[in-house]
Amino acid sequence: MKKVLSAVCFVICIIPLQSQALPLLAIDIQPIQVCNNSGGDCANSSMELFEGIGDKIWSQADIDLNFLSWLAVDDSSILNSANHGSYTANANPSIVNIWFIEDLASCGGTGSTATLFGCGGGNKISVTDLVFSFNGGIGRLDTISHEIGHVLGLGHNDFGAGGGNNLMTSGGSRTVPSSINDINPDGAGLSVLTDEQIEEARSSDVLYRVVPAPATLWLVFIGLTLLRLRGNLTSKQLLVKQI
Amino acid sequence: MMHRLALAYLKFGFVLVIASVHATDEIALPPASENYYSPASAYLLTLTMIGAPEDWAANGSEAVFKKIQNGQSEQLWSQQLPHSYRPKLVIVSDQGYLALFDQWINVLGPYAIMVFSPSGDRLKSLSFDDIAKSVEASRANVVKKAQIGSWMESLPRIAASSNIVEVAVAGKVLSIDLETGSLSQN
Ligand SMILES: [Zn+2]
Repeated sequence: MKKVLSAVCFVICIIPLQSQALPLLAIDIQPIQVCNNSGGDCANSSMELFEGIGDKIWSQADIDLNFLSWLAVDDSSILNSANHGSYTANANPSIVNIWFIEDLASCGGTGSTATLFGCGGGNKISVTDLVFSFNGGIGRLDTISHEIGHVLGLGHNDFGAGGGNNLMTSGGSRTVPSSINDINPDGAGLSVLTDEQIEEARSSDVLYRVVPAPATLWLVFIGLTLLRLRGNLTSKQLLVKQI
Repeated sequence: MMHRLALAYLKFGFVLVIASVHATDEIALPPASENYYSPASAYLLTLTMIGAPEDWAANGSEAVFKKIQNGQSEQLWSQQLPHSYRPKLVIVSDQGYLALFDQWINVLGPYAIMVFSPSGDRLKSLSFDDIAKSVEASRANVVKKAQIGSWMESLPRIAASSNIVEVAVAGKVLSIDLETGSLSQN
């Protein structure tokens, strides 16, 4: 009886604790792989999204990256050397298109003499294959997350950006992680988002609030209660896990 | 699962009409060729990118090292470097030693410092982790305090006729002995 009361008390105590965290927001991202007219020579041939990296970076802002199923477009005219303006935004304004192409001429305006990894803005992102060959093939792990930041309203020098360890600092000054283990708060503490950046990004209309389904909450409730009754977790362990 | 869509759907999809800046993620290309002299102009290193600009990331650069005497230059050695694009900073000593700092790209990699003898032998190759250990700082603290690239707080400097390079790292001054490649903390 004491154990049952303790378990019930635990659930009553834990639910208010959960409500103190920032509500989880999400962004829907539509990956589009561009190929030539015959469906060959496709960009991002391994269909790499660096999703684990992106989720870790954006978890600093309690934002979940939700990548939709891949689409493909066979069009040689936009596979190489096009401008970011050649790529369309999604018909649904709450979905961000991310176009994978071989290379880009520019992000808009004048042509670029730099190595161009990606552009972001106007609810769309374009990413070049140079992202995947970067750093001896490890990849430029933070470009997709950086461009998502632009879509969410963040710039290279605002809301506390500008330091080498910040996600939104410009490409020539930012230190790019070579591993998920160097992303803030771990290791070298790279790809940092400041409190100001988090506040600004979370105000974007592109984001939506993730509401856990009642069934999910119920399953969590039953699972935790059973664990408590079996004595697999002490109250202290449960609290630590929640924190 | 891959869906193939009619091209027209995406080409003529709804384009959002919002005032926005299309911001980039890019790195400026290095110069096609650049010269570095020792303090008294006794030695010269020339870094030259290999091939066309679109191939520079993969091809890297070639280093050509020359001794200069009485207005005449004599090539001592040349070699292709392992750095992505090329090293970011270069120091040449008046005794013909050479130190290369970082890669053109900002990553915490194996080529933080590379030291060469006057005959072109690689005396030492130090990684970012080696640097952090040598100044007894956490990797995160080294990056946080960096002003130049990923770990340097100051530009590396060498005095005329010296073989000791000094550079500030995480609030400390790191000395690099070019004759041995050894690090010490001031
Ligand atoms: Zn940017």
